[in-house]
Amino acid sequence: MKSFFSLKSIEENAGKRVEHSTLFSAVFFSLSIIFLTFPIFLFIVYPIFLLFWKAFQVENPGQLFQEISLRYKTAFFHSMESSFYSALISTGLAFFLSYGIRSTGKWQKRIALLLLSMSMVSPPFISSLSFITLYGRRGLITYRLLGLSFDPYHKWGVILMQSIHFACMNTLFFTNALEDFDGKLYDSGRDLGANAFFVLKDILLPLLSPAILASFFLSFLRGLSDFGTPIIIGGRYSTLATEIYLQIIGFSDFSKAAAMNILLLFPAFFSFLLYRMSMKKADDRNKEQKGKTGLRLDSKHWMNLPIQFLLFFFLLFQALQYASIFLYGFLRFNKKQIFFTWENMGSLFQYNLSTMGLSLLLAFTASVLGSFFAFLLTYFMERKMKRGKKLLDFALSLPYLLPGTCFGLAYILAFNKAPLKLTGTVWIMLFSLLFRQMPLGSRLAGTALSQSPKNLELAARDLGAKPSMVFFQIILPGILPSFFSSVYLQFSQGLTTAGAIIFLISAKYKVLVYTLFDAINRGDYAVASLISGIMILLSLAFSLLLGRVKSLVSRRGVGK
Amino acid sequence: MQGDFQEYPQGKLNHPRPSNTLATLEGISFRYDPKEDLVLEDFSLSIEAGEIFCLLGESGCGKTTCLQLLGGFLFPEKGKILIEGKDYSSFPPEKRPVSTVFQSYALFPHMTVLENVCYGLKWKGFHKKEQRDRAEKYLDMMKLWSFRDRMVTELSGGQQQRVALARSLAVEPKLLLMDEPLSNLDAGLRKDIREELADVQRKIGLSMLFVTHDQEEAMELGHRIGIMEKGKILQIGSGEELYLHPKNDYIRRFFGEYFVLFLEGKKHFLRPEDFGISSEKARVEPLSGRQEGRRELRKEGRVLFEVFLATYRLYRVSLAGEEVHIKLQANAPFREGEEVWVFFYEKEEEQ
Repeated sequence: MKSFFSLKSIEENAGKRVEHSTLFSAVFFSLSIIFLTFPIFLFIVYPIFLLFWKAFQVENPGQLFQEISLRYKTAFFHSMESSFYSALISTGLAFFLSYGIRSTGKWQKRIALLLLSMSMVSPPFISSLSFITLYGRRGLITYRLLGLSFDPYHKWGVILMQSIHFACMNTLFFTNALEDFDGKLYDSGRDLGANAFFVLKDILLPLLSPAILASFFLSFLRGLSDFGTPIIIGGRYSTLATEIYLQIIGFSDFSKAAAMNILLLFPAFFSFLLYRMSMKKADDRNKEQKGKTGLRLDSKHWMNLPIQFLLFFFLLFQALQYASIFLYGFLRFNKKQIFFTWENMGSLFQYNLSTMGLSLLLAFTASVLGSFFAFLLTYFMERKMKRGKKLLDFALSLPYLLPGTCFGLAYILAFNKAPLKLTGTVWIMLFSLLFRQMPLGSRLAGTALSQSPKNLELAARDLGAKPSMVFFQIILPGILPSFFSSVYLQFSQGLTTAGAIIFLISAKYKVLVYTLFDAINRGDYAVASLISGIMILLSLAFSLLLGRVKSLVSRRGVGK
Repeated sequence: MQGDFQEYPQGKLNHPRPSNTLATLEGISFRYDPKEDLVLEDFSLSIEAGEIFCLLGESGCGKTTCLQLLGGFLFPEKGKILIEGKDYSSFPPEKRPVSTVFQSYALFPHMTVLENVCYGLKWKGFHKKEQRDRAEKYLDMMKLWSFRDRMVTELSGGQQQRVALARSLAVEPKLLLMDEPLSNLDAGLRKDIREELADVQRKIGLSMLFVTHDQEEAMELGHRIGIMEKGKILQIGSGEELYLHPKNDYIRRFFGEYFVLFLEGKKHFLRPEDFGISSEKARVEPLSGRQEGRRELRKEGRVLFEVFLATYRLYRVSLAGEEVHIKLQANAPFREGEEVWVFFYEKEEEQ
């Protein structure tokens, strides 16, 4: 008689169920990987590949390259030169600025951080424009106030502008690095008899050297792809990025532009590689330190005085710059006098302001979708993938390596024919924003994930959560703050970015940046100021809104 | 056995009795933020030359704040910090004749062991050669000489701890400040380093202020212990004094388990080793010893649980519904479920 209940049959059935579930999860896993990596392939790898393909599709590619490298030798040299100097100056400046911020009082610190983060949300070129209005040949401060005639249109004007602009982001970066620094190391240096200067030299600087290098290489990379500053303030000093921009705008010579890009790609690739290496070293060094205490810098040392002066003047410079952006739109200049006026407001409405709605919609959609996608993909990449991780990581960081204009150009090449005809639609703009920002979201996700314990996931599985739910119920709530920062940064970038999107607009769909360009091209700086002001305010409003959502979400808890 | 030491109430004989004051905190008030409450209010403390003074308390009681005030990392709102009579209250850390061993060592990860130890000597005006000789002397003392050219990150936790100690000792501070220096080590290593530390201290007669939350550590190392709660020192004394004659319940609880029994209209505070057990078959005296001439009080009870714990045997006994824990010598014969008499010797002064 067959027994009604046998241990053996239970074991067999259990075995089947396990088999069934592993098979199912393997299929599910492969499908998710394909679902997640396919867009990366389609919207990053494929267009960029096509861009380079185009460069070799001329009759004699060798000759083209030779011609280009000969003709743009000076521009290439200028790119390297200005990027090197601005990376060097901005990194050095930023280090001392963040040192100064670390040793000031609470409210000074708050003001400093606010002013610095404004640089992250201000539209491109606008700081150069406001620099000219304040310090240019007819500048408010140099000419009207001090009666000087000051000519900023040369190499050092470009380097100065880039240095100041990059210094803002680098200072925020170093402020975080100092926040993470173990104060006990600083204290013990002083305890052993070194004063603030020597502790800075012997302990702080060597230990922060990976972060300093990372900041240098990132700034160098940004300098290489910056085409706006040399256009506005460079005068005859032209860089490769500027030449590429002019090539596309002026001559629509895609093959040549693509070939010029390859030239730019070599230094970009190396500085990116070095940046990643230094960043990894910096992270590792941070992980070594346990039981950290906050860094308390010696605020009584003489060295602090010049640093505080530097900080004060830098912030004053920034504050004047933003004030001029906001005020310039409401002022009218006569020979000797300045009036307050609403006139410019009136002329603002002659521009196409419907672009604002589309800009907001695009920036919002791209930031939320893009962040979500980047976080999900990075989670899969970091925690689930065994092979191809490095390759995918590289593909993800490709958009960083190219100047924005090239990314836009690659999209035109890739999506102008059926079945992938997207040019002239709103989709191409959305996708370009979304995937151009992908490295940003992915990096934030990577950092957040590395701080979220792996055991958490195992515990969730152990308690019976399905693999598909672990991300939504366990991982995402834990890294939500980073998710919100990613949404915010992508939103403000999406709203203000020009490079990638400027070639993709069509008669039907235009964005606010286009209106800004329109105003600049017509020489209507007052209106350009108003539009920039609006952009900054929109970014700030979004950050307030996001803060509100964040507090609501964290109070209720997510994923329940 | 612990009871044998009872006739020397002044404390451990092998420790020198300190005589002259080295460092004083005088009427110190301190807070981290002007909007917050004071962490220390009118706080005073003095450390004698050649002693190890332990500040013992739970986290957040202000003991580390005290240490940082002495080290020069914090500055008092009110009050004075004197070392050998000189007022150092407003001096920065690099100008104070003290040195701190930090909780997680704070060794410079980009330097070798020797470079770490030399770093402090550089500022004392020694030449390269002298720096090296001196550093090697202290590394030798901490049994680390052969590790001198390694990077500190390659060392184990215990070795790092000893490097940190050598680094601080090398500058020959008048006062060594130690901020829970052993809390990151595992139990075995902690004991070893504790012994080493006591040896070194005896060898060079250094004064130390040692901050810890571990009462065993404080009792083993401290010539005097100050027990702190909420920014105040409740009582200062040797470990033995604090254990046997605590001023209040907080201190009593801090030093371990105790039970309160009401017998003959009086309150008795008793530690697990103050109880003895007797039954028809045997009588076992308390671990704290037989007290000749003291009155013996007893209560009926039942053994709920017993377990052998190497150096003693632990009992859980129910005394008419009240449960007490009793430690007896390891070969005590009472077993679970047995009806017994629990007895103890009445103490002279009870609060």
